[in-house]
Amino acid sequence: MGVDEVKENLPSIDEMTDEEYERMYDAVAEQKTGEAGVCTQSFVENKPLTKAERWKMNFKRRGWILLFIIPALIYVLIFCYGPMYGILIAFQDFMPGDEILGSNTLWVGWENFQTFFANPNFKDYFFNTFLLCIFGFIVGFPLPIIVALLLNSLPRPKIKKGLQILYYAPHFISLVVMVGMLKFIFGSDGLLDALSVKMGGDANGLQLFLKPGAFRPLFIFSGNWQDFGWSAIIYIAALAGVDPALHEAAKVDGASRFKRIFSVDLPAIAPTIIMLMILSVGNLMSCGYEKVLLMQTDGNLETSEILSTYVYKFGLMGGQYGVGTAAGLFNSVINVVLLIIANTVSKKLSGNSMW
Amino acid sequence: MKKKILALLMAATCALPTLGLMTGCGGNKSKHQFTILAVKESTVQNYNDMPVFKKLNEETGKDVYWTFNTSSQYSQNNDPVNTEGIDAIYHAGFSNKNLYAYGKRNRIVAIDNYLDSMPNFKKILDDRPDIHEALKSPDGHIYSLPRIEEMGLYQYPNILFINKTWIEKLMTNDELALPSGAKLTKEDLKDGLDLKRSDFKDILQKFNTTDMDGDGAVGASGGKEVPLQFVSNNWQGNISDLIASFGLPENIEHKTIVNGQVTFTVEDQKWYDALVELKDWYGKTLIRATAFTQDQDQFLAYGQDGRYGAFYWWEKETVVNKDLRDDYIIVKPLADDNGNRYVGVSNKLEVEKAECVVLSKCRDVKGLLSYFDKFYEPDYSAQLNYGSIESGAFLAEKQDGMLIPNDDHGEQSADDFRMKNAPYGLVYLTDAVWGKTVKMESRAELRQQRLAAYVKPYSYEGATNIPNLNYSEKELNDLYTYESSLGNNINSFMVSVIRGSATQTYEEFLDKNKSSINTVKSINQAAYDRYLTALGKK
Amino acid sequence: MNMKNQQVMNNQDILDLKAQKKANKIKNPKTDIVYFVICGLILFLLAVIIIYPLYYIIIASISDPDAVMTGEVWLYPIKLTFSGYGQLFKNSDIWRSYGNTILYTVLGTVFNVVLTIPAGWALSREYLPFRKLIMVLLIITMFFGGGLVPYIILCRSLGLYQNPLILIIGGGVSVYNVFMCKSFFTSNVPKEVLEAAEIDGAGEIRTFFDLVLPLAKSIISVMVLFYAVGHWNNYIDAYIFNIDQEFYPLQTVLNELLSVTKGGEGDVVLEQMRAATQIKFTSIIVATVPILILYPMIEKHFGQGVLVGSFK
Repeated sequence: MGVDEVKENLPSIDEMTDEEYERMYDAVAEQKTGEAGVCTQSFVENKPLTKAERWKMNFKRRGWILLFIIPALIYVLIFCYGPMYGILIAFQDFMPGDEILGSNTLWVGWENFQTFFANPNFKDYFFNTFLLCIFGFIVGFPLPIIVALLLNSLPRPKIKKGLQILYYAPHFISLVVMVGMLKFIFGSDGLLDALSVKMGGDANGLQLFLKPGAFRPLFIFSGNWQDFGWSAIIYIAALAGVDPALHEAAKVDGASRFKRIFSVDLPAIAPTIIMLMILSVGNLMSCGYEKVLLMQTDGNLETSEILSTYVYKFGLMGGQYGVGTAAGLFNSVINVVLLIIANTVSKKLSGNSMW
Repeated sequence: MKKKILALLMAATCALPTLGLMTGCGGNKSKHQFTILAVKESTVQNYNDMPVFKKLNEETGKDVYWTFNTSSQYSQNNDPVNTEGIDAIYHAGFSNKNLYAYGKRNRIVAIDNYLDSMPNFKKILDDRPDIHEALKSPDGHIYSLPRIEEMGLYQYPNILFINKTWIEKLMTNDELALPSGAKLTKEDLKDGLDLKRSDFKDILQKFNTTDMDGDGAVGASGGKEVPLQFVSNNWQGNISDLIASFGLPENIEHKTIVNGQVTFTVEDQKWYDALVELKDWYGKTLIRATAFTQDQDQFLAYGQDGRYGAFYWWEKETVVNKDLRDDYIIVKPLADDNGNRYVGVSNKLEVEKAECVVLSKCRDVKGLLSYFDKFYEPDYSAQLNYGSIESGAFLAEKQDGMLIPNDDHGEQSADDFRMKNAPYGLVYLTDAVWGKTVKMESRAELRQQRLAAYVKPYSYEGATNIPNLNYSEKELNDLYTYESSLGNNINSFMVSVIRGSATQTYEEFLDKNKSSINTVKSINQAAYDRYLTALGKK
Repeated sequence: MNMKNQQVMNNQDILDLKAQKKANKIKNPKTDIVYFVICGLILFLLAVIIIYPLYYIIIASISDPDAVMTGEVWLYPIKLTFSGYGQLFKNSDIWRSYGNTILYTVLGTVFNVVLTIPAGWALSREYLPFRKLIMVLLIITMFFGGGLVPYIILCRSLGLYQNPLILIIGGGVSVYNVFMCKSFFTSNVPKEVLEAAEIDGAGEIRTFFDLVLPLAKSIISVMVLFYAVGHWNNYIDAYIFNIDQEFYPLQTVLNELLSVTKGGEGDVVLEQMRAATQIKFTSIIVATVPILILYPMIEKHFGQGVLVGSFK
């Protein structure tokens, strides 16, 4: 078989199956070796290559590609897998400078977990984490979808583009600045309190940052303020791929623009929605500690102390490494379990899954 | 060309981390005999330039070099003991648990093994068995050098001051009628003013709804005036004695010893009743939200222009600027309706256990400890605590063999001067020194007099503070587990009840924290009983 | 990963409807006007919500601090003053940290991109040896990690504690970004070119530098933006790794500035507090402007299917 012939018959490198690829590869190799006047044994005897042999050949010729991924891989092995080895600390009485696996290591079994679970506030931290994340999900998940659908329905591309750029912008503002702004507007001495006093309100103002009940709304509102536009990108891009003919067809049926959102747009982005939902559910219990820490006051601790801030404050700053690691591990395990559940459910119900 | 640059860049970036690692690990080998890490704010003078340390270097013949962390930096450092190239940490402030954890692992030195080269420190331990007992770790070793400054001031950190010119403004015919039927006259307006809590509240309300400073706005709606101010969780000038006035020995940790029994004030119904009453004060904006959010600096800054009607602090001199100071007079602890007065006892101790630790990697532990031992000599202790003679903290000439504090710092306030010039830290200033080798500064004497006259007589009967106790390792772990979250729970419940945003009832609150309270109580009780036994008091 | 199927089916369903469309031109139904009005209103409102806080910080930064504190400033600046900026320019902490942040951002971003782009390219090649294994190794890290404490202990043992280098190489590879690059290369590098190169006997390295990189401009600039913003906005690592204050990045200094009220004694302090209030506003602006300038320059690349790719 000639090279050209093979090439014509095959779709493209990326869409080839392994077999197709090997066929092409063999053909190319044959041509090359033919030119050079040297034949490898396998070609002469026309025996099919064994899998191992083929792999070897591929490796010999194209193994250089590994060079491109090795630096990143080493980095990941050190900085992502290295800490996984550090999980052993959860079972130790550990201080920095101790060996993780050594003769002096102070093993304590499950004691750190017991300490963590025995903490009278453990339940609060758990539920605070859960509630913060679940409310964040309930508000934060649909909002970008709605925005994307609305934006997509705008008839003027220029306005659409302009709004889109504006909506993304806050995503790039840092947490420090974000929380700083939040305090200028909603904090004590902030705009809202100053206005409320000016309007004849209580001299103490609203003091939202001291109200346990206001923490979650503030956290979620500011999070969405920052990210709804950014999260919408993916849906907007998916919507751009919808065939205009679908809309025309629906119009013929007399469907209004509003109706077409449900009959045309939503089904088109449904797979994207499901994929993102699985991802979100997998990360449901992993609220970062940075923003929460910045927003914490003595007044709102009741709702603002979550698992990750506990790990940071008591595990790291308080020097209780074992307990901190145990708490972090507990959180990670919950995340993985959630991810697996979400994926399984989605597979069963819709056939979409991540693996 | 482009690809060459790119390839180069790539190689360089990959090499970057390795390079940095090498420089990072190289460490800075110090040229000095000893290097000590001290926790110091940037506003404080560099210790290396301080005359007192120069003199110490000279006299001991040791070459000691200081490096610094600011307190915020230090608080983030989760393992200061591993800091490269240092021999000791000054102002270490380790928790009992961490102190023992490091000691157990031999990363810090057991000081008691070197007492032979520490005559001053050894004498302190011999003279004061209570301090000796307090310094011991669970294994019986002493892992840190303490700071000891005894003036009898820390136990009562709150004095109530009120603006008498404001009260005068409220008077009609030189009299102010109070709800209880009493009448205030101008003659009453001097230190030691006698007020019932209900009358005090009434005055605050008038402060709040009258334009006291004459700027056209009243405090209740946007004016500058603040009827009552404090810093709710600060070690001084806090909310505790306002709550104590309801008849309980409150302090910021809510725990104290009453007649030998470790007691939690929060278990007393009166504690909750106090919060409910204060909720009304808050609702009427007599207490402001800032009392719960501000730090000491903010409190002091805003107090300068005399906008506080009344405030808790342990002196008025730092709070209000010079010209307005005389406007404020001391109010005796507020009386309840039966005329009874109560003041709690603070747990802030005059012996700070882990003020300094020496690291085991120090090459000459003996030498360094003999250097630190000098700090406990009265002359050095005084200069470390207040500033050197050269900087003007004391008069150049001793009188009657005593160092005499210099009160005149020109434009600078006494606080500012001291903050800048005194390194604090390892000192031994007790009755063994006061009036013998060092004269007490006049501010401290004034505070002592005020406390003796207006506060101490009303101390809650039988209440004493919880001394430095000696816990076993298991007790330390349990305390750590329960105490931090318990403290958070109590404070956030307190604030939310006063602010009217509580989500749980008092019963629910008690229920939830019952086991923690009992655990902490029984651990402390056991340790306290052992403490008494060790001192032969039981 | 089954998205394609569904779309294809939909396409076939309506093929015949395409013909109808030509036949009768359809006008938008009347209800659409109501819809567009509401839709426009919502989007406009969102725009206001986004813009107002930013606008407020700007007007507050150039107004009299007292007017800001009493709530008079909310629509336009009052008693215009630029003293906040003047004060800020005198603050050496800010400028030193500004320099630090620029250094960390530039070096860090180069490090990130140099690791990420080639990795994405390699992963996009089916013939990459051990490809499946590598993918699995990478994906696991997206959902499971050792946690904060072990991470810091690891860095400590590598000598990165109290070492500003961590601010450059920390977070060196985002697996998420690697996958984004992978799908970019999968769909944006023409196979014909590669095949031709292969047959010419061009090696992997030559192919990458001569053929692939020139095509990857847009993904590179998006990566630069992502990573650069990450470095620019990082504040907590300086705390966690206890970096010396001299090496603090901008955002960490900013956090100190925003959360701490420094005071002393006397009337001067009140004046200082007024100034501090204003510096807070101006520093926010000074810290944020560079990012908001960089972003529109790169924004045009977002549209090229770069971002969507990662989910296919």
